[in-house]
Amino acid sequence: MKKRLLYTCLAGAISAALLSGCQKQTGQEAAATAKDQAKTEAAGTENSEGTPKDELVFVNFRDIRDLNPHLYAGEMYAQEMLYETLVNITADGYAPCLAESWSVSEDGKTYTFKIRKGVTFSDGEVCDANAIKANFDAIIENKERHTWLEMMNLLVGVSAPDAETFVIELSKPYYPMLTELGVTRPFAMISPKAMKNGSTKEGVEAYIGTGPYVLKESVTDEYAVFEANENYWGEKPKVKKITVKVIPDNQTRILALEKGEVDLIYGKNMIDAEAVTKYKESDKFSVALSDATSTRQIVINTTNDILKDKTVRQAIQHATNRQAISDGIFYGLEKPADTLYSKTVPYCNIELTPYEFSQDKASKMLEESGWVMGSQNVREKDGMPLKLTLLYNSDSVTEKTIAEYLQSEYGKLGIGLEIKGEEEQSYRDNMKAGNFDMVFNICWGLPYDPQSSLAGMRQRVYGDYAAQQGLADKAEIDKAITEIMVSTDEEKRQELYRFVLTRLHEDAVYIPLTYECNKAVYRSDLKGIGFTQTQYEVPFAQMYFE
Amino acid sequence: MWNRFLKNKMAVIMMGFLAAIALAGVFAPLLSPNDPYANDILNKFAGFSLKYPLGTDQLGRCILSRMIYGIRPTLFLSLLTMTGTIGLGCILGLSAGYFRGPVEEIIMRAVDVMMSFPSQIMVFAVVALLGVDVRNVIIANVLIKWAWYARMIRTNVMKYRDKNFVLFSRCVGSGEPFILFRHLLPSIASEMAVLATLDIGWAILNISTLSFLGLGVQAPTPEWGAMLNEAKNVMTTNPVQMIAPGLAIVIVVAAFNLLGDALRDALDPKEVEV
Repeated sequence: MKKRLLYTCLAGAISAALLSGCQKQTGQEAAATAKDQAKTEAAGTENSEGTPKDELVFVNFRDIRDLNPHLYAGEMYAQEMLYETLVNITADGYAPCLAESWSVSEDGKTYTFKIRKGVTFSDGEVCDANAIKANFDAIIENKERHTWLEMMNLLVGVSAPDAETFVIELSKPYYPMLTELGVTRPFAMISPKAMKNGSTKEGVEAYIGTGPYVLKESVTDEYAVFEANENYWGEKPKVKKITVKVIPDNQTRILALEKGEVDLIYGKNMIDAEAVTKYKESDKFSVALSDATSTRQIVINTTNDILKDKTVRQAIQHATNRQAISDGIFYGLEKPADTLYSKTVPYCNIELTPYEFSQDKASKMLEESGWVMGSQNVREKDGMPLKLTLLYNSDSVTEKTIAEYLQSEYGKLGIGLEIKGEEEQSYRDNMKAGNFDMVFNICWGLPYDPQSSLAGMRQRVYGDYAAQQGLADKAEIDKAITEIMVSTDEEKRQELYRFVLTRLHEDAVYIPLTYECNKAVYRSDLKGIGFTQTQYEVPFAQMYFE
Repeated sequence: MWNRFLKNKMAVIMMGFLAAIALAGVFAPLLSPNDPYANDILNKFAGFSLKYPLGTDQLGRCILSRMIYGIRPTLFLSLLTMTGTIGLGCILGLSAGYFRGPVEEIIMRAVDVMMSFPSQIMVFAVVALLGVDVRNVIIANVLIKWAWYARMIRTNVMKYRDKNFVLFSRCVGSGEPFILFRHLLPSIASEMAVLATLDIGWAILNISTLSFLGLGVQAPTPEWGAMLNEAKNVMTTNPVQMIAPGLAIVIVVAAFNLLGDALRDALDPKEVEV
């Protein structure tokens, strides 16, 4: 017996020694690769002694996937790096990009763009009005896919009278026209040579754009390498090479950052509030937070047997403690949200009474609509238990925590909440198909809010359409949204927005939680970290090392 | 046999330890200082204190209470899995070993097929097919793992089926059920006890693994593997949180394995005396 114990201990010791031996070896290997890297880096900077590092390692939770600029399957930050649109959306309004200037006819129906001269795609093709027309033709060919953009429904035709002029004609004046042309997709330009017989809806041959970077190499689910576009027409980026690693797990990302394998973590759901708070004090790493970009919310499916009752939905609103979520889960980094859109969003500064947190009120409302406490602390009505499922995206770093918190909070009121996590794609598919009782969602953020995200509620774009099907006044709301899009009178438009937003608020379809913000954690010698208008873009072009 | 078992210190210590753990699970409501589901989001990641002896987790729940309540799913689900696996393996192993011929052929070829797949991957596949649920995890474990036990039990049965007392029994006209359950089953019982104990260790690890991956016990039920997963999500910011569930799994699994070893020594004296 004693002998056996001894043997066991010996075996343990030996295996431990072996393990540590392995570790040492990998340590050596790492050192060796580091040396190699240092060598290549030294070689790269030999001519200009003392130049700062110009290679950046970025990290994302998933692969770049299909970067076809006319479809929606790729990562948006990568599409922004490769492709450009006619106009840019900045904090001060629209800025010229591929179009040097533009004019709108007096009736608001004809847009004439003067195309920038001397711009080429990274395969050498010239990006003139004809190339842009080819792109538009390819986009229009797949019109059904883009109906969330109202301009697609109003489009009469596009033409390129000469190589420098591009004309778009609409059937009605449409006020968010330039915004829709400026968003990441689908109106980004790909080299006509990369299309498949002038079409892009079945995929493209190569990801060739006019943007500041070109895609050099990519290995699915491992990494992608972008290099600066030598022939870029604008200011050339300082960071010459960007490697994007795929690391799905939040903690692994943070460890990679600490070990120096990654220089930058950037995004809304890429890093949790704990880590942000931790690195605020650090001098090796810096933290940047954007202003509120969009509203983190839960969509309630109004076609559900339980949730079609408006009183139940309102009770759930009252049962949600936004302040505690903001303070407890986000350490106050994300402020509690009272309404679907923040008041800073255009046209959304209207007076709505927020659903204040009150468990008494919530349980009273549930009692009123006939849900009485049954066995096992779950309310019942006509033998049906008050059980709901909340679907969350398991790739997001905080949704699970919020879900668990709500589960226990609602549980106190006798609402049995089951929580279910799915990886991003199947979560989105289920949301779109309406396979949910309650689901986490975001509004789209600027520049899409409020016009595009409202327009998207009229079709099966995201979960909104499916969720609102149970509303009695759905048709009325849709009609008002359609009217907003083609309204020309500012006051009338504001009035319509007020109507739609008030209805949605009173119908209690959305539980606003917090106003999300973009978060970045990065090495302190990396400078120029900023945030753009679209929350999905990572502005690499402004970044540099000191 | 009992005497030999009681003389084996290791076996007694481990048995006592595991019994204490099981009792703690049974009397969880009396032992745990707090409600394992009550959260206090503003007091998350609290350190060790009198109110929260092991601190709080990412939702401000008491870790010690969750550990104690976690004994229930962790230990009892693995017991259930073990019973299922050994039960199925026993029936098939007994019939294969005793009847021989076509019965054995069919069963053993099925066993070969099952054993040619890596078991963990098969468990994932079955859970993915049936849907994420604890019940399905147990079904998957039983369906995949029985083959190992069927094979071992068959070998044991074959050792005894041609022994004289079985032959005599057959001569005097005992029915087959009688021979199977009165002669063969008791003969292999001691070895099955060893198998069963070792299997529980495996089952605990497996259920914890699946819960760790989010396929087993679902939130908010406290389960050690699931707790470890939750702790992993805050690994860099609150590393203390993973110590309790991690250590608990290691200790209990080790205890079961040591108990299995000790049982074998106690039940099979020939081998120890070397």
